[in-house]
Amino acid sequence: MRTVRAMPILKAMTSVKGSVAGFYLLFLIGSALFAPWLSPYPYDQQDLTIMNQPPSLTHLMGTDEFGRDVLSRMITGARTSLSVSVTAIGVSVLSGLILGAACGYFGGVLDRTVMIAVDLTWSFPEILIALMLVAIIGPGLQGVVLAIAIAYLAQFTRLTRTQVMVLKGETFIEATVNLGAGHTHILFAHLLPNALAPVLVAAMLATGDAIILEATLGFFGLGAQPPTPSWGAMMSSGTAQLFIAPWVILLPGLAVALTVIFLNLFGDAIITALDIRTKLREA
Amino acid sequence: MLLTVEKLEIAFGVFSPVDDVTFSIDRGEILGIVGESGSGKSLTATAIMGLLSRIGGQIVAGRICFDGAELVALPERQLRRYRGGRIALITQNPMTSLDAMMRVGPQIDQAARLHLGLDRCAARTRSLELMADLRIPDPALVYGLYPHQLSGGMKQRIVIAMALAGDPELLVADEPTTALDVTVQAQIIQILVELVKRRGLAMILITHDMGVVAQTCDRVAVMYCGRVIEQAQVNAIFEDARHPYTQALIRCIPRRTMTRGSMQPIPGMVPNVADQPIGCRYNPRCPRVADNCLTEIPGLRIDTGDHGVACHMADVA
Amino acid sequence: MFLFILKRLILLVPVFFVVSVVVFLIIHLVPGNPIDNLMRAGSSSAQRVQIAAKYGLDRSLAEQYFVWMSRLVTGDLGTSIIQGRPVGALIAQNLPYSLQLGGAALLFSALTGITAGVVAASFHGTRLDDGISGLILLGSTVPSFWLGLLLILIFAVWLGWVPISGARGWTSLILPVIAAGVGGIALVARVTRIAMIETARQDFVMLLHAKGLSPLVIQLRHVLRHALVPVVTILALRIGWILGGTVTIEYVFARPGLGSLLIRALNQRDYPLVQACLLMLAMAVILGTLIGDIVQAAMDPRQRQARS
Repeated sequence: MRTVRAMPILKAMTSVKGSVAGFYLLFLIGSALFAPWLSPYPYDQQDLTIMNQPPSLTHLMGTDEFGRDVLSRMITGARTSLSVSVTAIGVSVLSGLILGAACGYFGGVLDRTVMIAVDLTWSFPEILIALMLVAIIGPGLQGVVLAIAIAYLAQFTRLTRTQVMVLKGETFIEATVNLGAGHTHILFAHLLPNALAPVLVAAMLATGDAIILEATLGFFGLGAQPPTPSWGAMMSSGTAQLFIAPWVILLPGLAVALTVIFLNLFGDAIITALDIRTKLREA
Repeated sequence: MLLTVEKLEIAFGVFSPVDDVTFSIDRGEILGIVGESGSGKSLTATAIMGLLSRIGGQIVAGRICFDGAELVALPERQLRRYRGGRIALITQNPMTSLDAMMRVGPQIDQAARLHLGLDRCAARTRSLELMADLRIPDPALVYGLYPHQLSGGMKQRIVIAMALAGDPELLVADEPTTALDVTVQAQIIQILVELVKRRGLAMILITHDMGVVAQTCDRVAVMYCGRVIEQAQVNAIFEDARHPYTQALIRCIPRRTMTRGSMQPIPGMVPNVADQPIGCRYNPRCPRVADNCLTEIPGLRIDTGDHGVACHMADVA
Repeated sequence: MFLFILKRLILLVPVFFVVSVVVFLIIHLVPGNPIDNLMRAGSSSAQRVQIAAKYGLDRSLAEQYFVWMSRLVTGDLGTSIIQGRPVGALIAQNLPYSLQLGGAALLFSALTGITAGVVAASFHGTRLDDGISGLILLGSTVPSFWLGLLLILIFAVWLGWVPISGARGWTSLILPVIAAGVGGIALVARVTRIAMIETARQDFVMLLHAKGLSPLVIQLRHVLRHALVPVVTILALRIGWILGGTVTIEYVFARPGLGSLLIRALNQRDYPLVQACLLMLAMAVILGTLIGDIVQAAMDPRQRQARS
C-alpha cells in the first residue's frame, strides 16, 4: 500500500523538471531541518565591525546591517518560512477537507451557508484577508499562520466539496450506501481518500503562494519578530540598506522565487503523473 | 472536370485514415460520398478545403486538382483565395458553425467582401439577396440577429448563404442535414439541389443516408475504412451494386413495402483506424470472402460504363 | 440591462453588510478593552468617557454597530489615534493615489496579459509559446514587493532613469505599475492563452478558415472575442487580487495611498484607521467585481439577452 501511495511522487521525479524541482525541494527541506548544524555562524551573532559586507569567502552571502552572517540567516530563515507556510496550509487543508466534505456530502443549509462565506472570501485578495486577520490577532508568527490558513480555507473547501459531490454520484458509493454503510464510514473510508489527490496537489501549489504571503507579511514587519529570521523579515530589515547592501534583500527574495517556481514545477509534474488536470480545472 | 481527386492519402501521425481515394466531379453535377462514420468522408472534405493541417493531419500522397490547378502543393496564402471564393464548405452542425458573438448578417458579408472585393454596403445588399433566395423570411430583420435567436434550420440557411457569398463554383456539403429535424432536412436538401441546378455549381454531398443519395445525386462514391470501394452513376449503384458493402447499404434503406423485422443490418462493426484488417478491409463483415481477400487490398477497377468497384469477387458474383 | 445592474446592486447589499460587520468587529476582537484600542496610551479618564459615549461602548454590540454605521454614512470615520486627524480626511488624501496606481496596474496587466496570451496561443506548441509560458510562471512566482525592490535597484539606483520613490510626476508611476501588474499579467495571459486555444478548436473557427479569412483576422476578430469572456470573468473575480497587490507596492515605493496607510496603521495599532482602510479596500473589491460582471454580461449577446 505504501509503495502505491508513493508512486506518483516517484513517477513525477522521472521527468526532467520533476527531478530538478524534487531535488531542490529535498535540499531545501534538508537545510531547514538541520539548520542549527548547517549554519556556519549562529544566526543572531552580531559583529558590528563587519557590517554590510559583500559576499566573500568567510561570509558566502555577505553580512547584514548588524554584521550577522546572511547565509546562516537564510538557512534559519528557510526553517521559519517553510514551517510557517507548511503549518498554515496544513491547517487550512485539514479544515477545508472536513468543511468541504461535510458540505458536499450533506448539502442543504450547511452547504449554502458555507458556500456563501466561501464565495465572499473568494473575491478578496489573500493579502487583504491576511492583513485583516493580523489586525485582529496581532503581529507575530502565530497570527501569520492563522491568517494564511484562513485566507486559503475557501479554496480547499470548494475543491473538496466539488470532488465529494462528483464522487457521491458514482456507482460504487451508491452500492456502499445500499449495503447499509453509515455516513462516517462512507465519508472517511470512501469519499475523502478519493478526493484527496487533487486537494493535496492544490495544497502543494498553495504552499508556494503561502511562502510569498508569509514573506510579504514578514516584509511588512507583521510576521516573525526580530531577531528570528524569516525570508520576509530579512528583506524588511534590509530595505534601509538596499543601496549599500542589496544582497541582504536580493538573496532571500531569490530564495522565495526559486522555491515557489520549483514547487509549481513539481506540482505540475505530479499533476501529469496522476493525470488529474481536468479534476483541478473543474473546481 | 472541375475537381479531380486522385489516389489521395491522408495521414495523422502513423495512421492513414484515408487511402487511395479517387473521384471527380464536373460543373452542374452532384456527387454523393456515402459511408458510415469513420469511413474518412469528412476528412476527404477537409482535405479538399485545404484545412487538414488545422486538425493535425496532412496529405501524404495523391493529387487534388481544381480547375487545372494543383491544390496539394499550393502555399497557404494562395489556398486561401480558393477557400470561400471558389470552393465553399457547408458544415455538419449549424448550432456550432456560426460565431455566437457576431450578428449573422456580417458573417455572411465576410466572404463577399474578401473574395468579391465588395464594400460593406454592397456586401450587405448581396447577403440580403442571398438570404431571400434561400427563402429566409424577412431577411433585413434576420440580418441583425445573433445565432442563438435563430432555429436550427434557419442557422443552416445562414451557413449556406455564407458558403454562397463568395460566389464559389464548388460546394462541399458535409452532412448538411444530420443535426436538423427530419422535416427541415428535406427543405434544406431541396434548397441545395435547386441552387446547384440553377447556378450551375458542382456539389459534393457527404452523407450516410442512401435515401438522400437516391433522390439528389448524379454520381455516388461509397467509402469504407478510408477507401472508395465503389463508384458509379446513381442509377447503376441502385440497380447494379457490385460491392457487397454497397449492396448491404442499399438493403438498409427503409421501404414502404417492408414488413416488420425484414430490415437487414450489416453484421459487425467498422474497424478502428489503428486496427485495420489485413487484406480487404471489409473482409470481417463480408459474406463472400476468398483467399486473396485476406491478403491483398483490392484496387478500384473501372469498367467501360464508368462503374468502378474495389472487390476481388465482383466479377465472380 | 438596467434591471440586471439593479439586481446585482441589490445582491451586493448583504455582502457589504457582512464585510462591514467584520470590519466593525475588529476593534472588539482585538485583545484588550476596545476603549484602549481607540485611544492613545495615557489618555485622561475624561477622554475615556468621551470616547465611550461617542461610540456607545456601554451599549449592546448591535447598537454600537448602528451608531458606527450611521456615522460612516455621514462620512465620519472616526479619528486617527496616532495622527490625531479625522480618518476621513486621511482617506480622502490617500485614495486618489491608490486609484491611480490600481487603475494603471489593472490596465497594464490586462493589456499586456491579453497580448502575451494571444501571441502564445497563436504560436501554440512552438518555442515562443514555451518561452511566454515560462515567463508567465516566473511572473506568478516572484513576490511583487521583491520585484519592486529589484526594479528600484536596477532602474532607479543603478541606471537612474526614474525616481526612486514617492508620487511626483508620471515617471514615478512606471516602476510601481510594472511591479504591481506582473502578477496580474501572469494570470490574464494564462487565462487568455487557454481560452484562445480552446475556442480555436470549435467548429465555427473551422468554418471561418473555410471562408478564406486570414488567420490573423480570425484570431483577433473572432477567437479573441470569445476568449475575452472568461478573461473578463477572471479579471472580475480577481480584480481585488490585483488591487490587493498595490497595497504591497505602495509600501515598497513609499507612495502615499491606502496600502501604505493601512500597513503603517497596522504597525502602530491605529485601529480606527485600520478599519477605514480595510473597509475602503473591501469596497473597491466589491465594486470592481460588480463592474467586471456588468462588462462580461454586456460582451456576450447570449447573456445580454438572457439578463436584460
